[in-house]
Amino acid sequence: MVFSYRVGGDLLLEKVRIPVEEGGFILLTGKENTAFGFLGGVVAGVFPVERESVPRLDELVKYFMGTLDLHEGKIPDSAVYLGPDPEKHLLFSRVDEEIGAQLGRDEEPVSVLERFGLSPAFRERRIATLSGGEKMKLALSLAFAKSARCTVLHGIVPWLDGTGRELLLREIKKARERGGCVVVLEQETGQLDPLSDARFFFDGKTLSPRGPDGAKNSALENPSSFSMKEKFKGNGNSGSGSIVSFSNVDFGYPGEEGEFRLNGISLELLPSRIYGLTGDNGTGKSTIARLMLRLETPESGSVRLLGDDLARLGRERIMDGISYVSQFPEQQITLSTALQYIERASKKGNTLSHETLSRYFKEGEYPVSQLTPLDLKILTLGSSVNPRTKLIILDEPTWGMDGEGLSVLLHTITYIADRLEGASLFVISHDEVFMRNLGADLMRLQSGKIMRVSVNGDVSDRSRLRNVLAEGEHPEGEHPEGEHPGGDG
Amino acid sequence: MIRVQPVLHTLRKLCLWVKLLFLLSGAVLFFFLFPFLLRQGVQRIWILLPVLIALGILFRITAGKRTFRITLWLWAGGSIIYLAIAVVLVLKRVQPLPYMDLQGASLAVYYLSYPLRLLGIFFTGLIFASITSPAEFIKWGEAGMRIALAYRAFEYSVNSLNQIREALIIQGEWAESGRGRGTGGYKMLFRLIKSAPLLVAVTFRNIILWFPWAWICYRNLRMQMSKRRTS
Repeated sequence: MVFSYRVGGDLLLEKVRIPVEEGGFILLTGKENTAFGFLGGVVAGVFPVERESVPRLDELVKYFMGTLDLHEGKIPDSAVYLGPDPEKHLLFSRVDEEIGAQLGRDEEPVSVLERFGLSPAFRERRIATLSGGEKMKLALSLAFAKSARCTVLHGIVPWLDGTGRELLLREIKKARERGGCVVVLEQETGQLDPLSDARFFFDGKTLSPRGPDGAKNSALENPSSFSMKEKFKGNGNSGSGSIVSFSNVDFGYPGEEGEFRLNGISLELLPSRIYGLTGDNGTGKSTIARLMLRLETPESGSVRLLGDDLARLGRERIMDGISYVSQFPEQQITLSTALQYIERASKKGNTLSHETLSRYFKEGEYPVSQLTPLDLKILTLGSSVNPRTKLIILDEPTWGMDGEGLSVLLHTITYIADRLEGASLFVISHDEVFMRNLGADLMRLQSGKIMRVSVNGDVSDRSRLRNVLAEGEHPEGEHPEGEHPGGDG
Repeated sequence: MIRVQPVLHTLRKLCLWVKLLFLLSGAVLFFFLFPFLLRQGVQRIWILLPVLIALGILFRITAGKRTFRITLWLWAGGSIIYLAIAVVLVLKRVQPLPYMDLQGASLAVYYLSYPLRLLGIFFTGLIFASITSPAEFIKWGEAGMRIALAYRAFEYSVNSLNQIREALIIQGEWAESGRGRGTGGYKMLFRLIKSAPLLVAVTFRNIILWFPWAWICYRNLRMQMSKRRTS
């Protein structure tokens, strides 16, 4: 099919050619802008929608009601679209209800859940209690269970753990075998590439059959080009005490219907380091960040910030010490425009926040409704830093980002790191390659415990580690918690 | 010690009409019947108190400790603002209802009991929300789908409210439960009153941002279901 999509006088997608054929697997990558966000929906026939069928919120729905010019071919008569935010595709309260409503009562929930390795116990779970990755697995299970002629997926890989990624490949294969076409719009294309029949590059408006060499996210593949590690090392007197330490922390959500628990977690984050935390979906990676921010209270054990018991600190001390960008940054935005954040930083005399935000949001107001995932991440990061920040936490930073966007985010972090004394970076992600390239000390959360993967932040050690990891081994094995990933300090 | 899961499970299994009847009873008892109860004598309104306590216990069981606490905090914040206004209305003897003439103690009780009656409505509505899913309305066809969407919007707003509250906590703009002894308590209360309008405004903003996409999803679901029915 070949089509163009116009919104008002703006040509959003220009003569986009996608060979949607039986049993085909098409991989699209490239610039992650508004047009790319709508591309998948147009291919799946979700957009445009008729004017009378959408609420009259013109500014919000204008992209939904564009004009589609179909130059060749036709829109698949049965298609499913799944975008990068799983929450937007789950319409009900509980997993079994979601499956029943979306697939009909004939479909056995357990077999649907099995597609992405979710256990039968998930049937009874409330969707609000699932982690981001679990929500995406559920949404993917539903999408593939619909057995549509065309399945369009956008920005799903960053949410998935290793098992999830393998199961995704299996589902794509199964969909192709039954004659379905799968179109995936993705930035992390490494595992998908060998399976694809065709790969296209999106330049912001149209597709070309092949992207320029290295167009696949140079920043994702080689973020070390930003000298991130150097920025977080030896920047003034970093001190030797830990920034954050966990001592035998036990935690579980009260009344939670799952089996999630953190058991006797001990870890220590030292100054001027980069740390990476990985682990399967639903193991509690984001909960570790929530404990650091005192959004959750440990059942036993203690969390310390700069040597002080977190439970006894005033909120101002925590705000001063930790800057946090969650996996859903839009949920952290409480003002209406980026300009309001810049003005607030100025009013509070927070020069670092003011400068960081001003250099990115240069002119205009930037209403929240029009911000991209990158804008939201920069806004959340920029508004939460101050010259006394000691720890920057990024939860799933690669989600919704192309190489260019990630490069902007990393440059913003280095800009901030240049202006901080002894601060550390704590990254939560499924993308171990990305974190290793950042020069992070890697930790893995598994069965409620933290295992360390890398030993310390020393360059020679890390180089050795990289070499060995490339050969598929871990030099130190995986060490149970208690041996701090911060290592030598 | 009451075991929560079996109670919840039983309540969720109730027929939708029974749940709706429960919701309606709350509204009737705490709002529509109240003025007439008051007319029978101020002391009569005390019969509502055990009902309110029973509903509070049931809400604590169904919604969990955290939601229970947040609801009480929000209610307390709003009530303080309201009471400041209510005192003026009582002193000026402003008549609240066109069809009743309330004087003296009745007038004061009507105005001052408003937060408690609102709490009763909160409890009833939130218990209903805890035990009912939007999916239950789908069997009512086109109208049911619209109710499901509206109800889902309500659910979304509750989740959104909680997320914004956490964002405000991180930014030091919202009181944290279990903290604030002595003067800290006043500070917390002040923050709460100051940020409550922001919390509500941001929740509304998020619903507006979410709604068009949700509308499309429900519309597609409706089409899928009718396809399933015809096939």
